[in-house]
Amino acid sequence: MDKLKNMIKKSKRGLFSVDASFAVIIILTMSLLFYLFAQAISSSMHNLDTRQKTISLIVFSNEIVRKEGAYKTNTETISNIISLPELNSFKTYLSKLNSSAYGFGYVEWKLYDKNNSLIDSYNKTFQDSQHEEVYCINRLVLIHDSNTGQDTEGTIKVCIR
Amino acid sequence: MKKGIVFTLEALITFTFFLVTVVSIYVLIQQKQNTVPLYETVVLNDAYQVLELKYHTDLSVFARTGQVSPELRDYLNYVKETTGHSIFLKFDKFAYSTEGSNCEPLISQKRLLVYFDEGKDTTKDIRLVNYFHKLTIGLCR
Repeated sequence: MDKLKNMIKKSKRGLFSVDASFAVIIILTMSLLFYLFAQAISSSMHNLDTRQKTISLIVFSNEIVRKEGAYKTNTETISNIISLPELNSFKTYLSKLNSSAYGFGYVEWKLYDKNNSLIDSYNKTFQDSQHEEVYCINRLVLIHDSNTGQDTEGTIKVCIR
Repeated sequence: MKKGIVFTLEALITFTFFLVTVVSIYVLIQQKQNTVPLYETVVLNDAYQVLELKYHTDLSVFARTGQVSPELRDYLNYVKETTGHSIFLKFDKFAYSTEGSNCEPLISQKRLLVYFDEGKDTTKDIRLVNYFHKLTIGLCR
């Protein structure tokens, strides 16, 4: 009779206890949440990196297309007018640098006139960064010809990696 | 009695981890925001800068008469070919876009356009002459 009671008791217990089932559900849920958490962090880091690169590219291209000067209290900004001597001066400045202040591995620009003819180009590799994405921006400019004093429309395409 | 205490502690620790995880995710999840389109804003600023430097007279003619000169039209077409964005200009009742009437504004700015308003010169009173005008310039989608 006692043996029979014990058998009935054992059969009622089941394979898992309630605690164990509950713990398994919580562990699975937490694993899922941690996975989502890691995904969210990874996605945010990528978005931040893209945003930072984009802003750095805009600031870098601003260095090419904008000139700001000050004499005593008078300040002047020359924006969206570039000339070949100025670009050559900027090339000389860049050629002396061993690393980019913005952390770029590679910089490049190509200057086109209104007929899409290539007028000037430059590229420099600071460090090997083949695996990274390339970011480019087209800046609308006027190209100043110091000989004729004329400004003609053009575009400078600035790319970084 | 002891079993109950052990279970409560385990449950408490588990739930604490659970809650910390949920709260961390809730805090760190970034709400989708309408960010300013950077490239488009730069294109718009560049375009207006060039227009002001090279096509100021054409802009003031547009603001006065609604007429778009062939040179200005050519340049706006060039901007569209180069950047892929169509530009629209708007001043009071006058409007022009390289997209024609199909332009759905993406971004726009009100820019100061300074010119001598001849229409109000009849008063001969310099205080009533209007030099400053607001021109709306923007990009189509």
